[in-house]
Amino acid sequence: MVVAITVRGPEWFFGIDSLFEGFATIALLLVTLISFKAYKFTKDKKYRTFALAFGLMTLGMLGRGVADFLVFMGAKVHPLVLITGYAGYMGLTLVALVILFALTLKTKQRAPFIALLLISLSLMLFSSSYRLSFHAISFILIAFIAYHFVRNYFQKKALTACLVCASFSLFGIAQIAFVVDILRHKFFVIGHLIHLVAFGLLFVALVRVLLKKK
Amino acid sequence: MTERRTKMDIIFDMLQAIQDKGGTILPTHLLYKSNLSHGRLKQYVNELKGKALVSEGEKKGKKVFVLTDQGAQFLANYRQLREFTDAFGL
Repeated sequence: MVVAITVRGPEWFFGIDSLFEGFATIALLLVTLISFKAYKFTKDKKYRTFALAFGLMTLGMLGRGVADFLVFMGAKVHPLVLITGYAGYMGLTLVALVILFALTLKTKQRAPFIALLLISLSLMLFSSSYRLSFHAISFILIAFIAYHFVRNYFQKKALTACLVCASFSLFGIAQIAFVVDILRHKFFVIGHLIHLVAFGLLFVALVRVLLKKK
Repeated sequence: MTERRTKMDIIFDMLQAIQDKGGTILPTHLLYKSNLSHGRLKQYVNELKGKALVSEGEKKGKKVFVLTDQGAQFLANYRQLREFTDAFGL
């Protein structure tokens, strides 16, 4: 079996992308930990599910960061290691986004979301361009999640809610940049920069949560 | 229409009322501030005492409820939780 791994983006960006992903992993891990702490405090299952979604994203991002770092270092590793890193990132992110989507709808029904997840994963696996499918499906899911955060912001009118709303809106825009990059190229770095700003905003929101003691 | 308060919200409101009064509060003031019936207040106070979030004391010969360190910590954690919940609309 021949396994081909195409590494996207300009060569000067190798290494920088893994730094970005390192920062993203920290931000995602922070959401996971705060949410798990909320679950321990309240025993409310929605916090556990939220922690699970962000935990999966954290793992995925960590895997991708490690894979990108190995590419940057030019390490001679088995292709399966890199495939696990990239495919793991995509698979875990899709699972996490479907869980988040289900949480935002506040419904107890599981079957439609399991179906949605299977359809999403199938679309990605059997597509001629799995990256294109991944970013397109992610965009659709993030758009729905971001819509929930926009509505939440207008309800709460709080700065932290605004930061989360802006952050997820940028995640959605980043997916468009990645889709355009696959079709037209040159948008890879722009997509990563938008991602970085989005994670930065999420991080600031989390710092505000952590500082909220009084 | 205002949302129904959860049990956690009621506990927070009670502890917040005690903290706002400088850490000690008269039972009648707590009744007024927490917006509960006498029976329900008694139930909640017993629960808070059981969890060591408040204790009973005396001030100028009158019975008062005192916020414990654990109660103050609960308040801090709850504020954090509320900020997080509001931020993500959970």
